[in-house]
Amino acid sequence: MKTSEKIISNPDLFWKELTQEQELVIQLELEVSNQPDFRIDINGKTVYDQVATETIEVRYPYLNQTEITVDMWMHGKQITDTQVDEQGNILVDKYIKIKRFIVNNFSLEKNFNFYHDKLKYYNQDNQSVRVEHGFWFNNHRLNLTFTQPFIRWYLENSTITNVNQSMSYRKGLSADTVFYSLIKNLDLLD
Amino acid sequence: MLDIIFCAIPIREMDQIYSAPAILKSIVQENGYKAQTKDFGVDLLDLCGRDPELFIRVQNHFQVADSPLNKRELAILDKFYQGIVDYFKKNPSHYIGFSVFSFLTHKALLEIVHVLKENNIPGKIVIGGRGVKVSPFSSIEKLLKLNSLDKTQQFGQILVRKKIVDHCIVGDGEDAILNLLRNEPVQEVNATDTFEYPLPDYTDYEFDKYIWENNEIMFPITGSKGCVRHCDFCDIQHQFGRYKYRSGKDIANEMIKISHKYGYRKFQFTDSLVNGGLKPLEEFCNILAEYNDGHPDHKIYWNGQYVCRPEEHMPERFYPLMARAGAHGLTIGAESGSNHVLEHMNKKTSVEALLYELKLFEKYNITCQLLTFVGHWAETDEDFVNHCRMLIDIAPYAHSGTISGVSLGSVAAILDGTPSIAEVKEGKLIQSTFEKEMVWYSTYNPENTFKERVRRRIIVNQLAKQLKLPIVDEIEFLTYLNTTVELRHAKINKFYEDIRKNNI
Repeated sequence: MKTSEKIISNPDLFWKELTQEQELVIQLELEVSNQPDFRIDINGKTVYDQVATETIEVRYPYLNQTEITVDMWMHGKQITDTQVDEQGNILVDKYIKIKRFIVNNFSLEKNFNFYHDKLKYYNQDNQSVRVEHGFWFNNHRLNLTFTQPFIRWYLENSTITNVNQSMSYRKGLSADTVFYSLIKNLDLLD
Repeated sequence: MLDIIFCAIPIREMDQIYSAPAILKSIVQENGYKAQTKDFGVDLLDLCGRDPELFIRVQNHFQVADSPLNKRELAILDKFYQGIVDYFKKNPSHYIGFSVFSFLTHKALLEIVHVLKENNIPGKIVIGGRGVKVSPFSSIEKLLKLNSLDKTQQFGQILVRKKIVDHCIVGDGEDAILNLLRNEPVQEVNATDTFEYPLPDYTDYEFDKYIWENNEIMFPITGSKGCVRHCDFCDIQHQFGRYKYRSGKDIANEMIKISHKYGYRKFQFTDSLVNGGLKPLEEFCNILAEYNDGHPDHKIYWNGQYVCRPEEHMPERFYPLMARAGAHGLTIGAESGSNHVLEHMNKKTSVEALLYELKLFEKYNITCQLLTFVGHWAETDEDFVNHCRMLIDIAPYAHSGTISGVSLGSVAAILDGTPSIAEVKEGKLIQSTFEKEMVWYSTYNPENTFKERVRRRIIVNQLAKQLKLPIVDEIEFLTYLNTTVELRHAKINKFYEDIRKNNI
């Protein structure tokens, strides 16, 4: 049996094989102010804990784990790290702003709905609050929990559709009828 | 009475304007001739009620011999031809020029010329364009009643010899059209090294009748002819010869001038590639970037075909510069996800280079569309799986919006005028007689039959859906493939059976 025949007869298996991942790769592009301490834990293991830099990359081999939990937060911020003027305007602050949050090449920050619906954000009292693109308070925590491989979980949970209706007429036309006809007609060929 | 009418005919993409009629009109007008342009593709779209699906089905008739059309579609075609006759009755002209954009235009041209003759439309018929320099497309061999010798000749030559048309201009038409109008001899093959011609005249074009993304008109512009590559599936080198290009300054100034004159700010390069020469690209981008910085409310944007170079050949500084200059929606011929296949295609690039390119496009907010296809003669099972892996690897860029469209293509075709024809001449690739472009056999890779190629095409379609990729041109390619299988399956089966029997 040819490879393509095997694939057609069991597309799910092929899909699973193709989308297998060995590791989680997180790439962050940050705006950092006043040398904030930053920590990333994956499945309870600390993979990063130091003064945040503008770019961070961490790798985490999945091994046999299925559920993956990523937590990241700023810590060690003192009350004196925020200085305000008489009107209450912030003059100096310690913070981390997330410019880009890339997980296995998927830029999560570009998918607004996904970022706000599927990620979790907790305050220092461990209460779930609105998801922020960074950290301005001590021990506020951004959480990403998924079932690996990330790509499959992302595709299942992303609200982006494959067709952008606002684009030109060459997209958005349904080819389903002709596609299923082609699958059927394949049997006409020896 | 007009001297000449320059016409564009189906098969047409309705989100693109063909510039050749406008370029030629301006040249002949400057030399004192009366000319007009007409795009009959727009009329066909109107007759289809501007319904893209119907338009694609009707246009499929021009691609496939004996294509099955229903009553409604036949009525549309009848009205289409009657409209053409009426147009030429209202606009008599000494010459009627048809732009034969590619082999896909062959059948429409033949049918239109037939209708004009039946209705005694006066005017000598002259054809030109890339499609005259290739052998006749399979879909018209029966219409033309071609013998085996005919099949080796160029389409234009055959039509002149059979007196179907009066003249054929091969190669660049800018100077040759003037020779024709002056009754001076026209060279067998015409080439021009200059781009110094008057601004194209688009006054007859009905821009609002095309289908534009976000309703923004894209104005065509030409910066070069030919290509720096020599890919085995592509006939650009055969068509244009060596790569010729304008200075970056010249192109940028023309775009700024057109933007001021007509108010259009989106441009579409007609070139085979916009980054053939890095020096003119940098010069062009520097001028436009400066213009855009100084005109934040009237920025100029442009797109075009873009060649993916090896990483070390494209310094990172180009990307922010291109973004500032207005680059968006660049079309990259990614072709295959297998380096082995890319090597055999003579693409001189790699899958890694494509991913590097996408990373930088994403970093600098430049969007692009990717063109791919399956079933190249060198594509093995392993290569095909690698192709599927490439689709997985590009998915993040589609989800971030960097890739705005992915064309999964048809299946590999062996086209006349392409380097792969050399393999046919050497007997390494064997083309069928009835559908020579699509149905062929590779002695290197006998498993890669037409059926196998269609199966692979089905798989990538399913995969692309699972990956939620923004697929473009899906219905066009699948309709063509499906019609070919439906109408030709018996012949296709016999072709491979004969090959097996002869133990090739």
